[in-house]
Amino acid sequence: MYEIKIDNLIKRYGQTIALDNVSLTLERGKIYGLLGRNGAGKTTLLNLMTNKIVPTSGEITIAGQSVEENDAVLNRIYHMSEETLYPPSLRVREVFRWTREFYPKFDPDYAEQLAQRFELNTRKRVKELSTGYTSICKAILTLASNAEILLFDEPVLGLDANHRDMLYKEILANYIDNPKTVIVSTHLIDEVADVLEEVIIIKQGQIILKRPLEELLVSAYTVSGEISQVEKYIAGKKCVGGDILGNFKSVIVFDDERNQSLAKSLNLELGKVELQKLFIGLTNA
Amino acid sequence: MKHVRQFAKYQLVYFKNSVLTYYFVVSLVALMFNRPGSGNTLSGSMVFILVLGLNWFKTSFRFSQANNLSRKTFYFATILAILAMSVFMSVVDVLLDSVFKNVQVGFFGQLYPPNNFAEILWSIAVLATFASLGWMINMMYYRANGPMKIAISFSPVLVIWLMVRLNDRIGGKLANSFMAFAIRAFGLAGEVPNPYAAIISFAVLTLVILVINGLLMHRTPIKA
Repeated sequence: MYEIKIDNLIKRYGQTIALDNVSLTLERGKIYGLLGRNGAGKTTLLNLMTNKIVPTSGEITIAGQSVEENDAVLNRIYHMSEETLYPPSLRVREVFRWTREFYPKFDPDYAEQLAQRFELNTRKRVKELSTGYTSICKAILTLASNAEILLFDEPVLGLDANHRDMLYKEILANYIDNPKTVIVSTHLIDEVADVLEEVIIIKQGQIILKRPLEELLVSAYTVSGEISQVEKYIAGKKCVGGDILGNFKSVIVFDDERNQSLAKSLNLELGKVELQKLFIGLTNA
Repeated sequence: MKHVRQFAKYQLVYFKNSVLTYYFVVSLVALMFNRPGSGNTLSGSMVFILVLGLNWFKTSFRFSQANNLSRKTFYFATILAILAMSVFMSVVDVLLDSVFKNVQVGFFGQLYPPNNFAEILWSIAVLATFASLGWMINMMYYRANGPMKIAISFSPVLVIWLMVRLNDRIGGKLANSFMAFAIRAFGLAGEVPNPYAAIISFAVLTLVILVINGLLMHRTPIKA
């Protein structure tokens, strides 16, 4: 069993702090959603996990071994990076072939099968692919790598709704067939919610939340109704977000216990919270 | 080590078409004019491998990062690929010169007594130096920010200008010392010129460049 351990990780670019003292432990065999707004530090964190950039201070270890310049550990990870790092002049099938050289468990048949299903022409050169098909190509390489840890950075960039749905299903099917640690970094939260087991929310370089998705959704709910009544209900409670429309207000409350009787007496409605709304509330707070 | 070999293989395959095209053109010119175009194939190969070196780093490095290889692996794989390419091109150059019965004497022939083995070793050392130099120049630009890139571009001119000024001030002593050093380094000091001294000098120069490249590789980030 291995785990990914991130200890007091700091990454600075000049005066800008991209990651601010991040500490995390990621268990084996889970699908994590790394959620954050643009510039929150998601890509920086994934790049640090794969030694693409080096931290200002702190350390990342996998099964107790540092990832820094460690080929044995790095080979256990496949990173679908946001940036396309494959030589533009290589054909997709050549990229498949070379990836197999570096990832011995890479499954070329599965890659071909996925390429057919996603209608990716493997005879095309990388530079000839559209944004969507570049994402598909990178996602196929990641899935077929059979690495123990798969990192997807914005995997659905440029994909149409059908392909997005297909990709999420494939990530899930791949995980069920062969459990592994998967981290999906995205800001398209609602779509990915069905795939995730645990959610990590990053805001301005800091981890503000890490919880199992189910637990998170149970621990929060919405209260809506007339503004003054809502204010009475939420007094002393931890709340995030809030929409006001005329005399109507809706707020997300963080509390395991729902006070149904109080809500009824104040003529308020308690409802389930969506991950996206919760995310917006948390990252805007 | 396995990944070092595999990535060196990738780099050689990546440049295969460029090298084949280069030798196709060289052979075509040689056939048309009944002699290699530049008098000897090596001088053309020196320029070609320098250009190859200038293009060696960025795309390869990005692909190594796509496959999660460490910088250390990339560094040693590139050295291995440069050496393999230098050996291949040296052998081909000597073969082409003999096939086309080059009438013009090349650099080696002008400086040293005929010796095929020494000529191949000399070519390997020279080509490895030029390829490493190209790689170093490319990496310096890659690591530098905007103002630093300008400084790097002007630095050779500045260094030469300073050396000429200094040489003038000390009555030509600098140029004389430099010439004396170059004669020794190229093995031309004795009665019979010694190509092996030049081979060692080029090998040492390559090693120095490769150490600098190693330092430049340290913590190199991915850049667009």
